[in-house]
Amino acid sequence: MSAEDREDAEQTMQMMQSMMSGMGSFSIETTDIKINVGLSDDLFDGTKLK
Amino acid sequence: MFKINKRKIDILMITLFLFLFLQNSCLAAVNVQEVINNMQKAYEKQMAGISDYTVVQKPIGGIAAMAGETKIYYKKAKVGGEEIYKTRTETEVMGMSMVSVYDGKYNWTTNPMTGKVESELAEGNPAQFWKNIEAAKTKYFGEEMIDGEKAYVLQIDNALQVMGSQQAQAATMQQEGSQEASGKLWISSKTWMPLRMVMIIKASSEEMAMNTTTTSDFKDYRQVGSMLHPFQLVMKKILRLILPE
Repeated sequence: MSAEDREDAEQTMQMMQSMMSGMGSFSIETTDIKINVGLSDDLFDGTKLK
Repeated sequence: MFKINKRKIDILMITLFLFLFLQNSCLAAVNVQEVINNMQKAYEKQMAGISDYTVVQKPIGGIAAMAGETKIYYKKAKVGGEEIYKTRTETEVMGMSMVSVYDGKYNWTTNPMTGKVESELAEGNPAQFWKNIEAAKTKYFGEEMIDGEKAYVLQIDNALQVMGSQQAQAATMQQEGSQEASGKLWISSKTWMPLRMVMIIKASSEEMAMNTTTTSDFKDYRQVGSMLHPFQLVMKKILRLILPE
């Protein structure tokens, strides 16, 4: 790879780095928690997934 | 005379070095196991009266903003003589509903492309993540303060297995070629709950190398019934792409 091509590739990679770092940074907020509501066993039966 | 003394001193120094080295190794092993045992005790105390629970989460910012509200259902069950929480995750990504189930042995998902239900042997336990920490693959790394709270730091060799389910797809971007992962975990000395996780993934192919560092901060712990839950999870990713020389 020539020095010029390498410089172009590095510039593109820097853009990708910034974009992907930004996309991968986020927060997850918990909005509600319910305890002991008697969830059905069917919810956890993988064979019943559609 | 001088030679004999020097030899004696050498033997004494080597013995002292070996003693200190072995003592340090033993202490480290005790500390890792102690942290894991305390995490287990705290978890079991919190969860004793909880047979099921549901957590509703909302992502903010980054790629997570493409997903809508996520509901995670947990139900206590005995699988293979062991008490676990079966897990069901329901989320919506760009208008498409996604459901996955962990039944204690397998992870079940519906393939969005084919619509077929697929299952694979689960590598980790998503609800009881302390169970994924193996003392033999973990080193005690000392103490640090996180937001004014003393934390014990563990270095994890099998980071993908321990943290993969916690850090989800954000940290486990797969690509062709080789991949290695390592991580660190900060455990509160007060509550024995995780305060921070850092996972470093080094992946490389013929075209380039990619180093990803993902930091997850578990914040705003609140008491819900007997359970402590972090109401905010902040993830920060730093990506570095490297061209071969």
